[in-house]
Amino acid sequence: MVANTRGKIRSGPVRPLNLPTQLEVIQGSDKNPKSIGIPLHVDVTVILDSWHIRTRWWRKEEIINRRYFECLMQDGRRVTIFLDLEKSKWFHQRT
Amino acid sequence: MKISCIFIPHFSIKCEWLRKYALRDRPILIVDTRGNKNIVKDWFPDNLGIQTDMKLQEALTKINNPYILPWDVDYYELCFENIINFLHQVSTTVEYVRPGLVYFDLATLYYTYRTDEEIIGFLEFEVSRFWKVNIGIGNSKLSSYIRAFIGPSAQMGKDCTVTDLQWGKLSIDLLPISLGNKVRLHQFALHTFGDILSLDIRSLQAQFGYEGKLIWDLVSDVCAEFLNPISTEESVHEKLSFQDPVVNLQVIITVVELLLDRALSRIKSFGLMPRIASISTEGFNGGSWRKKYSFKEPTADKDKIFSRIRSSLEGVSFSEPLESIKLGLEQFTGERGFQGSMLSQVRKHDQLDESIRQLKANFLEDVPIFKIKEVEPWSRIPEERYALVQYVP
Repeated sequence: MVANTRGKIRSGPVRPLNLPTQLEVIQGSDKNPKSIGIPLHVDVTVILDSWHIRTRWWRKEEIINRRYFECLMQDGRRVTIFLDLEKSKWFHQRT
Repeated sequence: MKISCIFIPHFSIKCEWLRKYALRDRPILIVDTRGNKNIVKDWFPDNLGIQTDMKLQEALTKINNPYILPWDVDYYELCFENIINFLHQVSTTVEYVRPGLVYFDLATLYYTYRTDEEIIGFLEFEVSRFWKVNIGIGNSKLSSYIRAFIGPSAQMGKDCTVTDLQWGKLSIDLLPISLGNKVRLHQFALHTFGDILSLDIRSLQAQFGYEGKLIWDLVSDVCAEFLNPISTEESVHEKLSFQDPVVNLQVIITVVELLLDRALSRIKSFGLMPRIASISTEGFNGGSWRKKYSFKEPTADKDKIFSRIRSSLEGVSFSEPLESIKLGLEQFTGERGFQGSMLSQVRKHDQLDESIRQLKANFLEDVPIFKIKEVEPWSRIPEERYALVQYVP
């Protein structure tokens, strides 16, 4: 018999990248973020952009329903956060 | 075209006399080393039968107990610089051959002076401020050289005897040909120009090939040799002379940095970048040291230039205290280009693979090294676009 020349298939671990991390956000009267704890609280100077994503509505337990905000902070940083509308929790989104 | 030749016999010997007065009137041989051969470049006293490019062993049989000095061409060129600079002011085409020998076109001088004698008088007056020179004028480089060689006009203080030349009686040793062919010409009993002129060009060609024709053309004064002008290049020089000679390397390095600062400030406003930097020093006992630094890419970045010079200077031990340091920047360009590698990524991958294999060999288990893999780069959800997978070499 001819020996199997194919090498051993190695499937290493796959790790997700840029997973959202939960953070604390103080909202203003208009429900928009006013101050973000990253981890110390820094005030939002201006909201540069905001958008809404709703997908996987066909999977009952994995519905993605997020409201994104791209904020310019008082210390000059640009931070993207979202409010998970299903869980009512704020997350920091790295891209 | 009329060509003039300025010739200073035994120029390098005279330069050495300038440097060390004690050597005057003592027998000297200046020797250049080519590979493992020592070749004589200049000698004193004259009339000993020594010739340029003769082997040292042979020359030593003709001279008694000489001082043997190394051929310091940088120093001789520095000494000859004054004459070259002056000639550039009066002539459009100047061909530098070696220290002590230069040809130049006389066309521009004929606008001011009518005769050859007037021109020689002018050149003697101007150039002899620096050195006692022989000046010759002819229709070709050879004839001007021969007139300069046998008519020491400047030294004798009389007009160059151009019309009195007895061309046919000149020795073939004056010809600018190889020493081997000169010896062969003598073996054929061809000692003078007249002997060669009595022959047919074809017989010379048959014996000496291409150089045979050259010999014939030179002797017949029909050689159409053109002047190879010196390419004049802009350069910036900064010099600093010390009140007291300096030995401390740190001081020397600081001075070089200062000179570099000054030189760069002169060219930076024009957006120029040098390709070559040079350092030359003059020592307390007259010794000189020179080094050129070429850069692969032209740069006006002080740190880049200085770090190169500094690392080189740190390895130098100067044999004597320094009296002055000169820094030069040359070969300017306004543009810069980088040579990129088409296969740089391949090499990077190879190096990375090798490093990971080594880590694995050290730790005897899989190394936690991951690479970013695109999963759904178009996804609206950022965390689903990319993932980390283990890097397998």
